[in-house]
Amino acid sequence: MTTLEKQFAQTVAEHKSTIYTVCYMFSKDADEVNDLFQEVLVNLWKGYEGFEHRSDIKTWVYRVSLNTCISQERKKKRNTAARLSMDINLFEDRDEDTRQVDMLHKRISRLQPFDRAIVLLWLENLSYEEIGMIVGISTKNVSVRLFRIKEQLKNMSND
Amino acid sequence: MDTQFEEMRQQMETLKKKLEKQEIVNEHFLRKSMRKNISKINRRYIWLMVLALLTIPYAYYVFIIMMGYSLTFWVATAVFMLICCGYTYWNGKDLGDNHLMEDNLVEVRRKVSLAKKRDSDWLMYGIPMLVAWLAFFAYEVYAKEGKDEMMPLLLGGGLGGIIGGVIGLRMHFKTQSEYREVLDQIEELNL
Repeated sequence: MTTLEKQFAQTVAEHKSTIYTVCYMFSKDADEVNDLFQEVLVNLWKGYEGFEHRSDIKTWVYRVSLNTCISQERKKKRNTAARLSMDINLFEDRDEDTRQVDMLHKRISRLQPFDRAIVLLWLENLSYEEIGMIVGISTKNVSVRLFRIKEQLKNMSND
Repeated sequence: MDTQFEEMRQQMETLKKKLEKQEIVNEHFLRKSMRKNISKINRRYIWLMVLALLTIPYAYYVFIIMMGYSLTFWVATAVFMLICCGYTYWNGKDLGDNHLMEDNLVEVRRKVSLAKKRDSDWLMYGIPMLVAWLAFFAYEVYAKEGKDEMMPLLLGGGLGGIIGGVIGLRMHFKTQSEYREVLDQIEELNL
């Protein structure tokens, strides 16, 4: 393993739950999560050498993961074999924690992909500024969009 | 309404905690996927064997009782079906082992490659046997119905044979591609 590969493996290990969370929120079944996870890792690896640490690594991981998931949402491309993933199935496990997670998944997946990305970052306690940097919109725009998303979520729970 | 968002944040926390406990897996995940492919092939083999065995009494009813063909023809049909069944069993017997995917990969590759080759070789024996059976069938129809009546029956039988052949070939190629996928996955693990 080269030094770059070791650094990359370390970065992935540190941010695995962030990556998996994004993939999970953009998927409908376990196979799709694994496909997306694989795809995000490939894209992270492609950009890793060129990443110049101008932004925080977490911000970059979020940006690549969300971009990959949103573009895959459009393409709906499916890989036949995923090589790396996590041995967990949030779509089929039946414990109480998974039931809670599933409720969250159901709420979020009813939103449009871009709104899904924003609310995910908000739930991760990121500042409006950080959210704006990741999704490429102004801080003010983040605040307006979040207000609308919250309204939407409220209406969903009233349905 | 803040309660709803608070609940969502807590659910997010729960998700994060669950995921933090997980490791990124490669080998385990691939073995799982290989096992899935192998059990698909196994299930298909079991169905084929059941189908071949059920054909024996069915052929007796159709060829002997309904059509009045010779007992020799039914015996030939039964032998053909038993050979199909036996070959399928022999081919898949190593794959039925639940612990196959826990073996070392060299052994798994050897067994899967052998099963793939036998599956592929079956066409070499199966097609000539099918042609011989069809010729026997044509002879039986000719002997029983005479020249004038044999054409509609042969056309019906021939059409059925072609449809069956196409389905069989499709299944064969699907099985071959699943074997190939398993072998590719073994290669990936060996990298």
